[in-house]
Amino acid sequence: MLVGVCIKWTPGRPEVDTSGSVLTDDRFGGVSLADQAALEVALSIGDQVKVVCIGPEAAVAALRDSLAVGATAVQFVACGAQPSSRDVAVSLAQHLGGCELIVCGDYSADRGSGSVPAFLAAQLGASQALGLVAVERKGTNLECVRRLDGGRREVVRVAPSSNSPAVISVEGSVAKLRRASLAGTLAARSANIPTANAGINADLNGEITRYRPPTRIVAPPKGNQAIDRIRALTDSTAAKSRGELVTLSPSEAAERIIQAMREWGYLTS
Amino acid sequence: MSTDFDAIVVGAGPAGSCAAIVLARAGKRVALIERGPFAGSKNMYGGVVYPRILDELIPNWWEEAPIQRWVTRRSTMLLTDTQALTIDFRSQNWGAPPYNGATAYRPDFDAWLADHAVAAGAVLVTSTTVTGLIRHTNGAVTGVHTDRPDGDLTAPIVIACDGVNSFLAKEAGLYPDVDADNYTLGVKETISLPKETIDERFAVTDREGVDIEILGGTNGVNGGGFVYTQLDTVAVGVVLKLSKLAAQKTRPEQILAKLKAHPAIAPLIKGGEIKEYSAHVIPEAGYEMMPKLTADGLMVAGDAAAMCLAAGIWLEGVNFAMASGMYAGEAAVEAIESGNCNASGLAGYRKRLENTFVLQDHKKLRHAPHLVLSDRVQHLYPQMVANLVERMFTVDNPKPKPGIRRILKQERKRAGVKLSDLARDGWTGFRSFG
Ligand SMILES: Cc1cc2nc3c(=O)[nH]c(=O)nc-3n(C[C@H](O)[C@H](O)[C@H](O)COP(=O)(O)OP(=O)(O)OC[C@H]3O[C@@H](n4cnc5c(N)ncnc54)[C@H](O)[C@@H]3O)c2cc1C
Repeated sequence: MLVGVCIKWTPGRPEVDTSGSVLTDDRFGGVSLADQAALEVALSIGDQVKVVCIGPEAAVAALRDSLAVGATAVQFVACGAQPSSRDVAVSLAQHLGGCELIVCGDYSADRGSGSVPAFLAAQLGASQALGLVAVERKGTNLECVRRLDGGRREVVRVAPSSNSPAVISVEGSVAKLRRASLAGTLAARSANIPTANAGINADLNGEITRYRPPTRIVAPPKGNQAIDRIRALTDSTAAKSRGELVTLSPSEAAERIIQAMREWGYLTS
Repeated sequence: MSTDFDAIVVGAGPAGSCAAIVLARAGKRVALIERGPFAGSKNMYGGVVYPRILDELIPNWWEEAPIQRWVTRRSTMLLTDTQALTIDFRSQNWGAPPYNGATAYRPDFDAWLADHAVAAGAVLVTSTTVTGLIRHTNGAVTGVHTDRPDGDLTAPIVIACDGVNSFLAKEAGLYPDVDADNYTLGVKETISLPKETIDERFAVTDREGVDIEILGGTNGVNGGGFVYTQLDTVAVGVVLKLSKLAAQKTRPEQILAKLKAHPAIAPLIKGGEIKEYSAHVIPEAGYEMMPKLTADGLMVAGDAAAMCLAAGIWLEGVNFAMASGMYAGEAAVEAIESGNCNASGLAGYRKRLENTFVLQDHKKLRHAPHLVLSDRVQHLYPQMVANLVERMFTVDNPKPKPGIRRILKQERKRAGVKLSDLARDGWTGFRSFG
């Protein structure tokens, strides 16, 4: 089975300087533990493993490391900009043709939202099982365990095939990446790394928005005594909106979540 | 017998990279093995390099080396709990090519040197720890084991540049018994401040830098301190004799905190933010603790061979490491070409060291490290000198000014310094530094 792996290299030691810009150091860069686990899962499942990485020039180091541990092919896609997850997925999909299974990490080492695998599955028309905490090969299928809310787990059977590929994403605890042999390391130093251009121009730098909702004007709490006003602000019984339990079909649930996010200010459109 | 490489250099610090540069430029197949993810990633020091020796290896190195500031002010400071005596020297000559000392961050400087080795053709293997020596049945070293699967590498020569506490030199039996008294522990903080603030506080401009070496300020533990300026950080550190530190049972960071709070130091770093805390052992005793430098198929260079010169007013290790690495590289080329990689074929290494500053300085200053770290120099003399100067400059009218000779006599007695000890230490100091 040809297994594709998508990894994201991120520069290390991020620091915010006095002017507010983020400084990083490429020499401490690398891929997340989740991406490392993805590579290990692929190496233990696949007969052939192709690793694709979109990023700046320094990311080539991550592909050399992948070759050193046993990846059979790699593809570097040069992209200086900070593309959206959808753009990344479109670009990745172009290099994953023929893969029955694609393994991604559940998060990258920077702002990882874990959304690329979902976009990638949509792009490839593949089935998806994301946020896995265990992956086991059972014949031609995979038996996977997915983390659910409230400490619950869900067992998902994934049946990848050449005409129906699957995308999975794994957490870092799923597997520990093997150590590269010395011969592998030496060979990878001078290996040819095929390079393509992502052709993505959009740079999200200017568009990245905060995770917190925008500040809202809150009316002053009522009460003559300070203690009453503090109570009004902090007492949970005084809270206006509480959690709401709704039972909906998946598509209605998605709509409801989007609506709530709009109300809370996380989404503006 | 075919081998993977002509030579294996262990450790991509200044010694290792210089050895690898020489070998690779001579067309030899050389592997440079480093345990850190990149050269310099694991390395720390006080902060000042004297790269004159690089004139031979990288002409006009100052045009490309990752230098922070050129040292144009050198101060020697003597501290007691409440006093500070500073001798300050400034030379603008050191601020222009070919320069003298410079501050640089080790992850930058070491990586830059290793890049030169790679550019010359050396194979740099990072994130790989050498775990032992491979030996022929006749005892000759023929390669190394590493911590990677299938991690053995063979070569007729191994150059151990693995730094202080070299496991390889010890494994080869080159070190006699290890004595903790020969080692110090260096700890330092790198404190960030705006460049303009540093310029103002240290009275420098542009790329000019300051090097302050301190005697005292170590909470009674034998050792010393230092303050160095980088572009927008200041390095403050202490060097502490291991056995005394252990006996005092104080944490090194507490001693450093006390130095930082000293009235002579605190204003220099006020308002700064600690960016980094690091620590490392120093082979302090120099010549007196050096191991055998060669064995069949093996050479030891840099701190691995205790070549750091720690003689009070001088703390130079990087230049000694670069030079010894370079000479080890030259001797290795000679041995490979002559086909004799046994200790006899590697004799050129020691000869080169003896004919140059490396062993000449060490031999001359062989008694200096013990003198500088001795209890008298550490605890009695600084107090005596500081009191002497304080009384010289204290205006005690209506009393007349006292004669300096009389104060010296009184202060010597007060400090409990015997004239015979003073004379002996003075003579040792004169022979070493004179
Ligand atoms: C606190 C302090 C302050 C100092 N201040 C100064 C100063 O201001 N100026 C100055 O010139 N010198 C100073 N020195 C001394 C200087 O740092 C050393 O003398 C110098 O670094 C020695 O260089 P080296 O190449 O021999 O060893 P190192 O710089 O220690 O390099 C050894 C290299 O070998 C690698 N290594 C070790 N073991 C293995 C292994 N088994 N496998 C693979 N790789 C391995 C290490 O990761 C490292 O990269 C100071 C030292 C200290 C601790």
